[in-house]
Amino acid sequence: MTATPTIIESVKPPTEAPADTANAAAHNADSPLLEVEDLAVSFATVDKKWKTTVEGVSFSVGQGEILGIVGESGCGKSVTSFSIPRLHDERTTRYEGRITFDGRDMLSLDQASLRALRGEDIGFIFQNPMSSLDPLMRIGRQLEETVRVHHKNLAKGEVRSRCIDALKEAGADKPELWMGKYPYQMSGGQLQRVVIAMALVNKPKLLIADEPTTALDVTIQAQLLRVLRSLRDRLGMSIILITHDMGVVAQMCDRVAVMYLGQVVETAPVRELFAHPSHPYTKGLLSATPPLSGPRPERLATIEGSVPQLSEVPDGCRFASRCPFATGECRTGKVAMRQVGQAHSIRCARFREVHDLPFQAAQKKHDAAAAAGADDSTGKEA
Amino acid sequence: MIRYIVKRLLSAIPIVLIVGIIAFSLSHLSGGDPARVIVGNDATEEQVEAVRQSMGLDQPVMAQLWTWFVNLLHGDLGYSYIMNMPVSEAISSHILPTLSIAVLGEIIALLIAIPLGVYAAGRHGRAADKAVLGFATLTGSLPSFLSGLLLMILFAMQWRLLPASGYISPSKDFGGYLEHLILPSLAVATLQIAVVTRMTRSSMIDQLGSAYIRTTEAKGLPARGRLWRHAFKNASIPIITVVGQSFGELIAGAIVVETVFNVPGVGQLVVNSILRRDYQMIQGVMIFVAFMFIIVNLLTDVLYAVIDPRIRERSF
Repeated sequence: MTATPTIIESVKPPTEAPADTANAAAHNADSPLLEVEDLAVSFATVDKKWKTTVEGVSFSVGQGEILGIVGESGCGKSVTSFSIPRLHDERTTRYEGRITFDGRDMLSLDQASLRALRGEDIGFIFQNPMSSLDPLMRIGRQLEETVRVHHKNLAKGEVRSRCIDALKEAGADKPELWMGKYPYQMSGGQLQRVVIAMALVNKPKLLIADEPTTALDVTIQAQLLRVLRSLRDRLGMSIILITHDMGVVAQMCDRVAVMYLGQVVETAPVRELFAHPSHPYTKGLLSATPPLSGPRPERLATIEGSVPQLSEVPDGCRFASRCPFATGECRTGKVAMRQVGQAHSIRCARFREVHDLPFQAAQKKHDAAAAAGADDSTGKEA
Repeated sequence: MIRYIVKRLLSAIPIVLIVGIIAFSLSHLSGGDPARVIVGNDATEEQVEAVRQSMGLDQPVMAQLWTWFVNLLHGDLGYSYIMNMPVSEAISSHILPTLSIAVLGEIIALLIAIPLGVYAAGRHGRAADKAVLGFATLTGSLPSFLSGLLLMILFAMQWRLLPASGYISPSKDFGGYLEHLILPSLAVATLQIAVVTRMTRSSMIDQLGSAYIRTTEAKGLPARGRLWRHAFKNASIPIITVVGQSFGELIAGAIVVETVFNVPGVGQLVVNSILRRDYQMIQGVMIFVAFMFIIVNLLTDVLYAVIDPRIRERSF
């Protein structure tokens, strides 16, 4: 994992979501700001077939809540996050399920209303700030464009001052100077602040940050995460933070959705998740992350194998091929999400038994058994 | 910006030198005695010798080359004994029709090719895109003399909308000047349309797939703003390159088309000079065309710098 001392030492205990609902406009404050139910996303292949990359994805984000979506590369985190404002190419993408944002059914919105939401109520922060900005346009114009497209009658000076405020909010030290610069004149960290400023310049209700710090070095990572957190704390924005870094999750999020191979496999409040990881994949992820406190183990555990290609998604549980607890029952039929605790569900066929078992011990047994050539019986012994 | 332009101009000097040497050696490599050509077959050996001396042809080659370059630097392209006038005067009296055809052809080509390319890129992979590609292949495989003849048959013979051939000076009758230019310009534009459409399309497809376009989508910009303000500006650098490069082909095309449409341009001048072995004239035209290339290249370089701040900064 990429968690490093800089981040881990600054970890604060995750807080409960604040009851700050100042941002809840016409919308009922009790229901979540964003609700994704049973989302499936399919893309058209070259030979005109539909390939489903993400399915059975459900989660919700409350007012002022930070939801973390974690998982390895290729598990569908980005596909999921792009689906919320429907950023995939409409001609080659098919959405199923339901996405409700601020009382609106996103999947049935027309293009004009979608455009009105993007950049205004939903801000998006992309992974690589170096390529996310138009190289031929000054930062200032790119920011002002974002304001002007949603507020056509605003005076010039007002547009500019909003942009400068947003840059300050994102931690720019010399916002006026930055306005006149071209992207190539700035560093990666500065550019990501610009991208963040662009996402928040219209004070959106929801901020989606797709691995916002992955392309940057660690010291800047910590600074930018602090910026995001303060946006939630002071402005009450809801944030979806996509990351592969469990350290970042612990530091930032209120709730977590763990994804594996296009499915959410576990959702829980962050404390609950770290205290009682229940899905074998989550257990594996956490035992592969250095502990936040206490002595460090000499060797971290790893989850064996790698994420299979989407084209070779197995029947039954998608994690079965890498799971030390897997038995015959895991390899047939669909596995549904099941509740295992307060606001805590997992997608596991053996959820009753697996729940409390430690990952590493199972893995050792599993390895030994595999060596003995009795692959199928290992799960039962564990 | 001035320094940038000066730098570009200085870098053109070796090109002029090389083209100069090639043009110069052409007349010396191609056999035949220029002096004999000038005075004709009936002249005596003494008359030939006299012409040879007056032209400096009796001197060593390097000395001749030197004199030629020195004259060139003074703007003297030489004297055509066959046409009995300075080369520069002959060129300047023939250049306007050629330039008019080339420039008007380029304008027509860009007006058709760029919207087509942008449109095709926006419908990448669909029927409209394929139709545009097919159209580009069609125009790209039509030689300008053939498209010229086809246009002449359709517009001049069948529909009698435009004059079939000839040229009228703009100072005499501007309307007539334009009327006579339309068909030759369309004929030279065909190839250019193919080249520019393809480049616009592929460059736009590249840009539309890039991350910053996704950002503008996430900002809620409407499609038109994305297409022109962001993607097209970024896509324009390779388009400018290809336009600059193929402008030379356009001039070559204009020279051929002039013959088809009987326009008294540089093309006719060149063809006649070659037929008459008027080496001074051929040399002069070669150098002149090289200068035109350099100027077009300079213009494209300046356009790059206007569009892309990174190029501007690197060259200062």
